[in-house]
Amino acid sequence: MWEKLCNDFYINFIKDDRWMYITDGLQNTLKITFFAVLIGIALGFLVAMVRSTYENTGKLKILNGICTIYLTVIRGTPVVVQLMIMYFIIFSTVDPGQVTTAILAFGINSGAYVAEIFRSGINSIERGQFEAGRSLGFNYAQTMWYIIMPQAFRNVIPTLANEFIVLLKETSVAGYIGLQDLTKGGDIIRSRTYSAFMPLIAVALIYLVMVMVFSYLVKLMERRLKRSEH
Amino acid sequence: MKKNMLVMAAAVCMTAVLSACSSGSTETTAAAADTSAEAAEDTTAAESAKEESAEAADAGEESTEAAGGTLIMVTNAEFPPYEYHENNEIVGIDVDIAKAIAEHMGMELEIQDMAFDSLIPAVDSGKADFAAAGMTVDPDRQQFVDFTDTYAEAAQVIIVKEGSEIATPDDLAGKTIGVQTGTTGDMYADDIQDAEVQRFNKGMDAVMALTQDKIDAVIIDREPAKVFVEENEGLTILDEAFTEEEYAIAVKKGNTELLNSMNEAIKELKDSGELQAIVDKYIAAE
Amino acid sequence: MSINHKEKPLIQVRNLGKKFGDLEVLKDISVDIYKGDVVCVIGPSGSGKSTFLRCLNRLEDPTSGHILFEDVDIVDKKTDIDKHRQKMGMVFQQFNLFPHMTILKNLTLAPMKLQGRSQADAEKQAMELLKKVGLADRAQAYPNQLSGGQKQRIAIVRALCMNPDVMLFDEPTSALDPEMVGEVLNVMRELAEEKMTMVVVTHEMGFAREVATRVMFMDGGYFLEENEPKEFFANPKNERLKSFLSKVL
Repeated sequence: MWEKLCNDFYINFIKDDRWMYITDGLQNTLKITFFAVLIGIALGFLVAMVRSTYENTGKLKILNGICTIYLTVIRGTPVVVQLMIMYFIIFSTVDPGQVTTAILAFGINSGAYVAEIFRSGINSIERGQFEAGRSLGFNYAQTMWYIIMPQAFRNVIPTLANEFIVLLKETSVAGYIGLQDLTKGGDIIRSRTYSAFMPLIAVALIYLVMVMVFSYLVKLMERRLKRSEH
Repeated sequence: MKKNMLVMAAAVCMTAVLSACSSGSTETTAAAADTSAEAAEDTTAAESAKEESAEAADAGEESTEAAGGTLIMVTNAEFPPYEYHENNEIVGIDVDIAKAIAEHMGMELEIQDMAFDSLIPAVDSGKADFAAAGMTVDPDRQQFVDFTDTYAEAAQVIIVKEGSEIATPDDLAGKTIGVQTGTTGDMYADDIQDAEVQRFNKGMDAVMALTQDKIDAVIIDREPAKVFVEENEGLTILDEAFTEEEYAIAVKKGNTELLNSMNEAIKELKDSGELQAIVDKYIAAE
Repeated sequence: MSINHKEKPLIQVRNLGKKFGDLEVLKDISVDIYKGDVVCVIGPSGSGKSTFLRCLNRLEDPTSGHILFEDVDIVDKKTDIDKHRQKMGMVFQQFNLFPHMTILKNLTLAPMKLQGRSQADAEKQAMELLKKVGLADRAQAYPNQLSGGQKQRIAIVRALCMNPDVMLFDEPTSALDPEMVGEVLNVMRELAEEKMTMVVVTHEMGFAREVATRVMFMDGGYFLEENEPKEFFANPKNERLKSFLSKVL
């Protein structure tokens, strides 16, 4: 039993330096997730601002329309299809590279969800905060920036963290565009060794550890923010 | 009150389970009745029905494994002309050969479509009886499955864009090469010096990446390569093949009974010329 | 009707009207508010008094009429209302302190960002005002650590830090526990003694009687009666006011 496990381990990870499929894949997964999160936050922030500005003031009607279409399309189609469209259709003539393509696809996808999270965060702040800001003489943008957004952001941290955990796991479809991410790395080993157990469990464990570390960091951050409030 | 609810819930569950079981068994008996009815009709039925029952009898003789009478085949139907989807059905050389073999063994054939790199694990774990997927006999694979006698000659070829500077397999060094994950082309591509290998889930996706200049070449089996090149303008196959190889069917390691009956069937198909007829049908049809 | 003044009014309200859909909350309101006035607006709930107050700094957009604040019509869409709001402090029923900032930050945010004052300067003024309301020791606390009365005193200080020309109070004691009402009214009283111009929507009749220079009664979207406090409470003329006072006094 033990010997078999050792042998399996040897074949799947040590032989022919197969562990490098995992580590190379992990690098790509981290790269894609990290930059997609950044794009997601930036895009989500902008879209949320446009949407709630429209809701509160009736301004930015056209931009709001564009944002609504963006949200509907992105949230109404699977990310793997969006990824393929990005790779085979949008970047059919110019090739920014697979990783960049994936970052853009996942970032744009995440932005839609982040936008709705931010918007619900903004809506969760009571109207009095907004009025207090305006009554002091802050304009709409300043009130949003100094008073509403910091509180909204704090309220949505758990939901936001969850979105990024989902994003990290969703990047596992990056292999569809021939990109070697963590999941694909495991798949390649499987296709070489024809054993499912070791590569799949290893890949699953790595995702799990990443999610747990990330959740822990989020919890630390939440605790720090809470401490400052009470 | 709460307790009562629990008891009731449990009772409901039990009833559901029981009725599920009983409905299952009714179905079985109903099916059995159908069969006997059919058998009774047989006396007046057409010749084909007689053939079927004759084959069923054959099967009884040839294979003790005929319990249920279904052979499960796994394949990756993205690999024309060996296996691909057409009119909502999986068709191709491998499919026809597998059907002929099953017919020869007097069994029903059920085809499951999955990722190429899942085929051997599926056979190895016993989820499927065999894999027929234009699979090249290769020592690595032989550690996990047994291969039947080969039934087709194949080659890994190189697809490039017309006018590409790649003219021979040696020119692949340092280039970006697309392959389908887990295919022999994938394995060999690993050994090309300084080449960047991009692994796609489907051969077609690799070919499309080639047409969009995202990669420099695709290594893939010759017959699908022909189809891809025909369907995409501006692509060409290098005259010199990357490797020459042979296809065979993979069965679970140690299942010599199935292996032997399949080999027997393959031999007969070869001898009768039926095998060649199947290959001609697809490859001539291009 | 109104007390004589020689100078120009600080706020001139002319034919102010406000509708919410079909509901006409304010009907043709005209009133002048002079520097140093302490105007208490009383009336039954739903009479439109809060809406009137919120129109003064355009938290509600009037549907008709004009409001001249320091000779500028702030109802005009072209007016930079943000600039004028800096001169009009507002205190809300629900305090509306910023919970994510310390008290000191609550007080210095607007002066620093809007008036471009240095942190040292803004903090110096904030601390002086905090001392005045007896909360200097809570400068580094967060709003959630304070009682309701303390919060409202801070809210008053926050508005004062902008050195406004007028202070608007929207039922400042209505959300407070009874024992905390006094501490807030005391701060307001001191403010009145310093000749701050104030418009106060309130149910505190005692405060109106003692501190106000003018008391106005509002009902059904109109100002029905106005007088100096002694006369207002002793000899109400309007029937609705009489009945209102008989209920609340």
